[in-house]
Amino acid sequence: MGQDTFSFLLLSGPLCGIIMVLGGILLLYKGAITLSGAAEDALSVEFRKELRITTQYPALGIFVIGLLFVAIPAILGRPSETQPFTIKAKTVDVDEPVSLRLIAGGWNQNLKHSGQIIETHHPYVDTLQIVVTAPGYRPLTRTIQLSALDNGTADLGEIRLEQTISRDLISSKIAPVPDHVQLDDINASGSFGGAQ
Amino acid sequence: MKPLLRIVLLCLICVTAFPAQSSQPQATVMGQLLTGGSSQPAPGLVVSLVHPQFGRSVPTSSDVYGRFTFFGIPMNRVPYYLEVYWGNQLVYRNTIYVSGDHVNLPPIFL
Repeated sequence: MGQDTFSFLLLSGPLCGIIMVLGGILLLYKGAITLSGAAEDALSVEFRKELRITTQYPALGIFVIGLLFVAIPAILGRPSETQPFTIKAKTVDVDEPVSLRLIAGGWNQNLKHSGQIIETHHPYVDTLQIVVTAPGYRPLTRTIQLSALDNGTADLGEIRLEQTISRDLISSKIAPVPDHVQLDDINASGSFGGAQ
Repeated sequence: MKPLLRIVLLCLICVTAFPAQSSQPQATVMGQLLTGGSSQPAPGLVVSLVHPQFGRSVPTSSDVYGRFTFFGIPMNRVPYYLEVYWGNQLVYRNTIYVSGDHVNLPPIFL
């Protein structure tokens, strides 16, 4: 099923539900159905002989079914959560602080259009690149597949980085910030842009 | 003006305002870190762009050639501060202007 078909079905469910509820209200208003004209066991729903819901007002059924049309697509259309995982590694002979960058794989879609791009994507993160960096060391890249992890742990084993420059080759050149300019601290989380 | 019409107009303004914000022109910023004395590439250094209005960018680190790239940086007349860290230690800061859609910085000698 294409993404557009799935999106259409997800949208059409709530639309039907809203039409049912509004239609029910209209029928109640016109008097075609009533809540007061109760019949004994007018609407009964039974699930495996354990759960049984009975109402004497069948008009309520329209509203319940209508609301189900809205609720079920909302649950089904919820983006799936990626499970957390653990990265395990041991650095050897690295004297500087080590940091990790995780880069998700790309998604390609063959587009057939005439100038206009409207595509719905449901990103699925499975392949990840882990870039191990330390200042002055050649970065090391490992690729993992989340679906193939053992107990949710990516064990990278021993990591040896090759040092290319040392700290004493770097001199500080820090331009002062004017008093009226307030800059975020280094620990502030990134709020814009992307990096590669 | 009727209250209902007022609410509808307010909703329309809200709906049209958000896409305008997201379609702000954005730029790619590229650069390279080299050591001052021997012009060797400086890999593994953390690079950030900091702006008084937008805050701090998602950080990146220089690759084996000392290169770094930012994308999706909002163009703005107010300059950004490019900061380079050796671990947690700030070693370089300077202003850069992001006015074109592709900013290729001259090599930065540390």
